[in-house]
Amino acid sequence: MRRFLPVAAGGLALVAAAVAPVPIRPESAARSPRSAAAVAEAAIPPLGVVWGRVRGWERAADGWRIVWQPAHGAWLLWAWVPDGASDAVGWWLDAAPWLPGARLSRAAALTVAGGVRGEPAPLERLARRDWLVGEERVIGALRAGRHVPAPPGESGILWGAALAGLVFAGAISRVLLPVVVSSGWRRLVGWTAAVTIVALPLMTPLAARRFEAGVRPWVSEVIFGTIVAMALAAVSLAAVHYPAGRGRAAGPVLAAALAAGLLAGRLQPVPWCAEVAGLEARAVAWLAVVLLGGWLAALAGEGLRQLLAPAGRASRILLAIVGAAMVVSAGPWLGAALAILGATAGGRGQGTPVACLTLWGWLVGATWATCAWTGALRDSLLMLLVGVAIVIAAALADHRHGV
Amino acid sequence: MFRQGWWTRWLAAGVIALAAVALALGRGVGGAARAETLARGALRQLGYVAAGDPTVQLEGNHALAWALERSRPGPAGTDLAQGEGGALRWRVTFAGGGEAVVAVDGVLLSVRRPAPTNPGPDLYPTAAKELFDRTLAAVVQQPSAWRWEHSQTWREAGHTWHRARYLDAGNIVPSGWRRELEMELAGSTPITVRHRVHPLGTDLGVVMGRIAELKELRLAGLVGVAILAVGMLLAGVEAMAYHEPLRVARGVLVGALAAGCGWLAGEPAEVLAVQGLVTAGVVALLPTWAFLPRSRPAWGAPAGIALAAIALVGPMLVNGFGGWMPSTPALPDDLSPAHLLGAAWFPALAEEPLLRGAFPGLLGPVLGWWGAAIAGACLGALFHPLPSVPLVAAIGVELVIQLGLVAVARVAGVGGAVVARATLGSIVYRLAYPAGVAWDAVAFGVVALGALLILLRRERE
Repeated sequence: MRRFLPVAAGGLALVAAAVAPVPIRPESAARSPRSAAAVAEAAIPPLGVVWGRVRGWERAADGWRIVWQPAHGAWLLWAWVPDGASDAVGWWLDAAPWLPGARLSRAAALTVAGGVRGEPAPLERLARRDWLVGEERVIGALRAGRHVPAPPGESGILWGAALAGLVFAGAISRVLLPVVVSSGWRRLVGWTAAVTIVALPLMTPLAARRFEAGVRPWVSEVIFGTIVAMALAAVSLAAVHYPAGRGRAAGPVLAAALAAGLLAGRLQPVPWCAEVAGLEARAVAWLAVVLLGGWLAALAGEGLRQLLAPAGRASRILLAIVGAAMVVSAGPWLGAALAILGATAGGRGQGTPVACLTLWGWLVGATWATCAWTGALRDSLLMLLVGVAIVIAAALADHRHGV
Repeated sequence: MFRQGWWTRWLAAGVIALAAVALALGRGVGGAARAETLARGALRQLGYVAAGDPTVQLEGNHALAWALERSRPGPAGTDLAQGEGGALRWRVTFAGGGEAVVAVDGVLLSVRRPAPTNPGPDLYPTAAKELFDRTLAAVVQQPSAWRWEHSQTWREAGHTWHRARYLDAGNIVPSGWRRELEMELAGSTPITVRHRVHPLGTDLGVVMGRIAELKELRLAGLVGVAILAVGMLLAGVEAMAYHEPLRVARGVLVGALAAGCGWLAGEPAEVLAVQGLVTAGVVALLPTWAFLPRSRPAWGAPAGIALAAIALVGPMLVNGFGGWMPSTPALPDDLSPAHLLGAAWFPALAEEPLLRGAFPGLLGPVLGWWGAAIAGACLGALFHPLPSVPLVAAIGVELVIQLGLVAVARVAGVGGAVVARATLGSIVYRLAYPAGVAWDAVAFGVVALGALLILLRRERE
């Protein structure tokens, strides 16, 4: 009975986090990006250019921004497909500045733009003249479409810097105060990075903003892959040099971490989760986010604990205050903040599994909140079970080696 | 290996000096004196005698030059870029008035004389056309290559002006390009002859596209360097915590030198600050990586000359195998000798310690020295390639050079690689600057330093 109680409490917490009513967010994507691309292809009129294949997507203004580019890369076609059926599909053509075209007169540009009111503004290019007519644009002699909503700007630079500082402090503390190395977690991080590098060609749609008119798409994809592969290699090397500590994590603590993450994800979803859920290799991407992110969050948690350590007994009170401040101000960083706080509270032995499960819960919760198509929801539920199994396996591997 | 006597050292120093002379002497952009003579002659043909010493400036557009090279394979493309294409040219400006632009191969591209107060009697269009044709025959080298297109007439400042436009009829430029010539006359005095080349085909698109792609690829290299910088920061803190030997003063000195060279090369202030700091950090940390090969700068100059030869042969090889790589170097913004000095030494001081020192230092324990150095070479190959078809050809040539520098670093350490890279840069970049003693002195200064290092090298068993 005493063994059953924590399991039941953990299960109850999970169920409560999963079904607790939260404000329904309007940005929940009604369809997958591939379906949205099919809608756009049917709705946009023939443009007289080769579209190429779908290269990437991102969420913008309650819809999908999707980009097509032919292999020669001389132009890009953007489309915005709203989630609501009543809104029209917007599109935008962009061409490399050197692409030859016409030099239309002001009157001709107005005609091509469809008689839009407004004073046309010329834009001299290397081999043609473009015109801006209100929100319309004319490229050479080609109508370039309607304006597509821009994706939200990057925010939380301060948060990113603070997290980087904590990771840095954690790395230093693991060098100065070495841990008993958890070989299971070290291997897990290394293998996750390796598998993710192999799967990178399937993740290039996340690089939607990297595609540029005049740059061939394979070059943009290689650049994206190279940058991500370098970052993954750096993380796996860092995991060897600053390894996770070995320890036994309590079941109720892990269940609480998972439940807290799940609730946080449902409360503060980020649109990026829907973009990842649209990938064919979403399972690998989720694994990378959770396992590598969890290890990094544990490192940051250790840094936070060491920074608070000089306060002695007051450090717990300080941690509570800092934790409250982080939770209140984190916004879209709530999942990361909770993972760091969980790792800080869990200590060296429990930090990594606690942070991983928090992130796992957050990712699943955020996917539920941002995606409304079946494939993503089904896979995220499956991945939740796989994630719990992986964490248990890693803990058991450590347990077998002795804690 | 063997004991080196003085005669061996003198021989080695002499050989590298001769090799450097063979690779770089007379390879700057010439033709300034010829341009001045042609400019005076052309102005005389317009009825104006230019007085005084002119200002002669090299100018150009390397994207246009590369597109012209791309339009015609082999030396014909290079000749077109430096001649009729007008991508590399001398601008001759006389203080008393009058200006001419002459291609570096000696083709007159444009000439303009000051408008006289009394330009002679106004002409009817038919008479103006005769004068245009006479002027064309007098000023342009191949008048038959031009076909009359149209003319226009207007009144300005009490005189009748005529403007005539001729189109290329001699197929001087390849299909997809357009060449036109414009002449103006006031009253009965020819004022200007102007020559233009318009790229309308895909050649310029290929070049501009490759330039944009390489710019993006460089970004990936910079991200790699940023990741490495974070690793160095952590290594620095560890080294301080464990009281490992650091050479802070040397690091600051080399970092300041790198920033100074970057300033001469016209790099932006933020680049100077970041590169200076990173270089200072690497140089300060070098002693903590005791497994790195010891620096022997004396090996640098001969290795740099060998690598310069590879860099100069690279485009020929690519073109020989059916690809395309430009032989005209990228034209710098500033053409002063100081800029050449900075352009040669800045990459050497900023990149070599990082790629040949920090990379093997940080990654060596995991990948081994060679593995880490080759990873550094792959990253370094992204920084300076020229556009090519296929794109990987130029990156391949850069990679060969980087692997050469890896070999130098294995034998002669980071110091050897720095001197080799500076020597390589001095010889290769020299080609983009005007011919002249000051630029030659800067280019051969590194070689002379290398020769001196060989002569002063301490005898070791």
